[in-house]
Amino acid sequence: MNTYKSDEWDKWMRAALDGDKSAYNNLLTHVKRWLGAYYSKRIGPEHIDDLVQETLMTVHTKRHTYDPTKPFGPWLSAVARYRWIDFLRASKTGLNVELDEEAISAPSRHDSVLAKHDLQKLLAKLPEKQAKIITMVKLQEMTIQDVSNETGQSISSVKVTVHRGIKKMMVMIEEKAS
Amino acid sequence: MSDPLINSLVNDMAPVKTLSRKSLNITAFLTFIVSAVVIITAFGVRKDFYEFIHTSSALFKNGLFLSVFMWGLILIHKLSRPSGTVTFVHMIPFALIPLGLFTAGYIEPAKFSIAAFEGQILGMTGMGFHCLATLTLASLAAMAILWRAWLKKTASTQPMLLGAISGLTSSSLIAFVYAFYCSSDYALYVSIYYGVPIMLMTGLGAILGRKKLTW
Repeated sequence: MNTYKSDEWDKWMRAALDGDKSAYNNLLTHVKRWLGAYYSKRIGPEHIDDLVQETLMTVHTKRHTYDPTKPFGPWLSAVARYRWIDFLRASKTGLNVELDEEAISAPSRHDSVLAKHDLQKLLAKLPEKQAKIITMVKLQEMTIQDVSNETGQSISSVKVTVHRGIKKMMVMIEEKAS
Repeated sequence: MSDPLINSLVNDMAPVKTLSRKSLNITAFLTFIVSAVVIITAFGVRKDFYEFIHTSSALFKNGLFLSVFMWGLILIHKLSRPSGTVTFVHMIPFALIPLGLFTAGYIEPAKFSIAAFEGQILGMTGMGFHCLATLTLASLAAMAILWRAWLKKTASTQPMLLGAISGLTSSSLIAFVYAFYCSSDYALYVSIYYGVPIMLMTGLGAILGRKKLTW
């Protein structure tokens, strides 16, 4: 089920670029399976879901860099590989953050007053709406469901917002460290 | 079973315009026009312009920078997508700069001599710094246009290299235009007062690329 089918995927991606939601849904569903298999050979099982989600978001935000005259496979492989290397780099510097719902919601065992102080500084650099959601999830330890109810955003939207926000903060920490 | 993230991404999607070589070329062309208008309006062209464009100096000086600029554009386009990578072989044409300048100095050894260095380099310090400052500032502006119009949309797996090539390409374009005004054709002069801004911009591009072009 997770085999790369060149003709089909190329067709779906081209249709998706033109705004075909059904083709995009098919593509992402198949790509998700393919990514699961791809990362299962490279990282621990506990990180696969996070990395698959992150890569799917990258595919979404960077889809305009796909050249419709070329096959989709090499483009997807390059994106997946880049995300994997990025993950390894973050893991190596101890900046890897668990991004699944439970880990986002649960109080981190490393949260100290100082860490929260640092987090506040990082949050101040994020857009207000995003910072508010991360504050609710990470500092006030609200569940994703509660944040969703409070803000009126869907659960997946809250997850994506937290996910992207944490990623931005990781980049800030990395920049500060370097 | 539907995935909430996929549903969210599908709902969020809209038709997108993909990166195209045409838009990069248009950006480069407009940058060329703007820089040519600004530089020629501000400084004019050299007095011997019509004679100069038929000389070997024009070939070495302007031709060299034009070639580097054009090759740089090709590499920027190649590097802008995740699946595009650049290897050492692609870098070889950039060796044109030192090779061209060395050849120019070899063909006209008198212009490469210590006397020429003293007379034309040290004696023209004011002009030299004029060249250096103008090339650096104009290259910064050209690079800013390139970043705004193109680079920030890219997703390169070699962001540092893409940044460096953007600096090299922008400064080569400016050097090409500026060379129609600057009447100092000595290889050593060009090496120093054109070379330093180009190296600065390449280094700056590499630093910015590493920090700003990651995704």
